[in-house]
Amino acid sequence: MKGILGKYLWQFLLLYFLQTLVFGRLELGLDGMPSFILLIYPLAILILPMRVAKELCLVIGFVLGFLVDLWYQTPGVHAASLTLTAFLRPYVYSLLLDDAEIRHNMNMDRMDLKLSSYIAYMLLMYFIHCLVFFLLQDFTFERFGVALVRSIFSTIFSFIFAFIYRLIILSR
Amino acid sequence: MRELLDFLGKRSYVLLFIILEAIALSLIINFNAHQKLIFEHNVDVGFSKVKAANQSVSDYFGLRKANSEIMQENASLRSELKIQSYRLSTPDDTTVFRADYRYISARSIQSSIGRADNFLLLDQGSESGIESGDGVVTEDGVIGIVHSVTSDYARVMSCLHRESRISAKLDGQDYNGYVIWRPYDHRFARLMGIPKNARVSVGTKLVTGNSIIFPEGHPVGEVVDVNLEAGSNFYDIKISLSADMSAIQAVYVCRHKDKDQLKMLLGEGSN
Repeated sequence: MKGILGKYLWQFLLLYFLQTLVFGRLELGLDGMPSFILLIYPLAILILPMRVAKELCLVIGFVLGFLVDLWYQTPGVHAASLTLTAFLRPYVYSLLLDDAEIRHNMNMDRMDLKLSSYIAYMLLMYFIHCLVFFLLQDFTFERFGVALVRSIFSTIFSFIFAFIYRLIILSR
Repeated sequence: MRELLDFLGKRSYVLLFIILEAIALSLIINFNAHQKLIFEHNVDVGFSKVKAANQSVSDYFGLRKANSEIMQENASLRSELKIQSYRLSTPDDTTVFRADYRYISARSIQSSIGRADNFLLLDQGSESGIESGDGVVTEDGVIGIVHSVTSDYARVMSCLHRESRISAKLDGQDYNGYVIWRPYDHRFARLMGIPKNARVSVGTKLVTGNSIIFPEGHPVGEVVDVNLEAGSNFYDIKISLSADMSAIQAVYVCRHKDKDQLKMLLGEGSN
């Protein structure tokens, strides 16, 4: 387990600094449209191998979220949404993947999903994360529609990034 | 204890999640101005809802007090009204008999209807200005006459009493009679002393007549049966009482303002 985390530590750092230093203040959007942001860091949780204990995932999610919060000066918002994302991860597995794929991944040191499973998994997890994040940011359901639109756009663009990231990492 | 630990062990994942989320949410609420504002607003709204619910409950329990206050006000207004209407209908210079009655609101705390001689107990006494010999009425009709008083309570001889005699007359006619009661039906009484030249029919209304106890014209009952025995000069009339004697709650004790003077004069006559 320790070995796995050691192997992933540089990815955490990379994703964290990509999020904070590169995409930190980036807020995209057209005139009159709800803006969206690129959320890179959830990938650190999403790419963790299934073998990693789910409790540990929760703690990693909380800590990473908190570190991102420090950067954005939004204490708790990223932490809460990333903790929830980490919490839901095992349930999304059993929802999207068949037993054979889960068993196969349980023995792997990294995520090894079929492309279709990967897309569904990433899109769903990202969408959950973004929606929770925007709702927590608003802290009210009054602008749920806006939060939903922002989540959808953020999910799409974050997913594109995740896909590129996967190509780069896999090609290594 | 071990079962509890086992349970917690099985649920450790969910528990850990809840703890972490709680920390994160408390961070959000405490260190983000926007979220803090919304949270505090919602707490305020929640508290004010609880307060409103609490208020409506205490309002309900306050109804009794409000009711007695309204009754007191009603009594004073009623006294005022009688004075006003009497003054309007009677020219000042011909005023011989000032029909000024004072009303005191009270509540019946005990009453009977099933005995041969029935009494009521009121929750007001001489402290509130009630004296023995005062009349007791409701809006519907006559109840009885105050028999004895203590400082806080009064005992009322109900009109359902064998000794009770209440002066009454037929509405719209000036023949005076008196109402007596014979056990045990609390709905009906008898009207005596109406001469046979009066026009009496079933349904004729009965009101209080000239008396120093009750204000004139207060409802007493309604004629339900009329008998004229051969050779008698007086009707034997069965009446239904307009006040429901079995359900007496709020009553008014009434007294003529110059009762003492009138009593003195009446006493002189009998001597």
